[in-house]
Amino acid sequence: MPYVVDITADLNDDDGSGEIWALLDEARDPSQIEIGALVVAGREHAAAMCEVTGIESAPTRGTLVILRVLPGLVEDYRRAASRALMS
Amino acid sequence: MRERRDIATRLRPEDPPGGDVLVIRGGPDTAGTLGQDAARTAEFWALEGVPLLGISVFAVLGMPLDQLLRDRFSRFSVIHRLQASYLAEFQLLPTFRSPHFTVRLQQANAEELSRLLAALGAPILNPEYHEVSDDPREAG
Repeated sequence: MPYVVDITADLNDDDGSGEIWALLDEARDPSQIEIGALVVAGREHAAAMCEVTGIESAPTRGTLVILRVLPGLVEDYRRAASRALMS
Repeated sequence: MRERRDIATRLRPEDPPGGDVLVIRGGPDTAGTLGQDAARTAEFWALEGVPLLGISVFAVLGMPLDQLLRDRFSRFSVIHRLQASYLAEFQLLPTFRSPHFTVRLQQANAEELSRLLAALGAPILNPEYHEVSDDPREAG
């Protein structure tokens, strides 16, 4: 499934802590990126649900965004939400 | 403004993988995505005081290929799979937690990115990727 991500990130990046890094200027809507926000990060062909855990000034490109990669697939969250919201 | 993190503190004391060791990267990549990823890494990490232009790969070390694909690449429908010898022109830094490595680029210009993309080869289907239907009626 192609994804429309909230923020571009490389899911190959893994510093061993479960966190990856991104840049705010690669967010689709930067106003959605705030500490604690749940976002879809990655690219069209590979994405993950993530929690924004850090926002810092970047050395040269504005703002860094630290993301904690949550377990499972994006589709798992969609299915869980669908079950919860089913009337 | 924060300083770049020093990746020297996250280097493992080990040699680069041997030339016949398999290396995996979730894909698909283009020269453009490789350049974006390298530039992003350089905003975050530095080595010897220099922004680190690099991309992440994993070597098949310490666990079988199928386990690595399940553990690290289950979100990727396609992967790049190559022998480490194909990356011989690049520095392979043993970074973070094994078996992660950072392929260090010198300039990440079009020529270097094109060579890196050629080294990665064409993406192949990830046998450990299992597409999930987003239809809640199919939920188990």
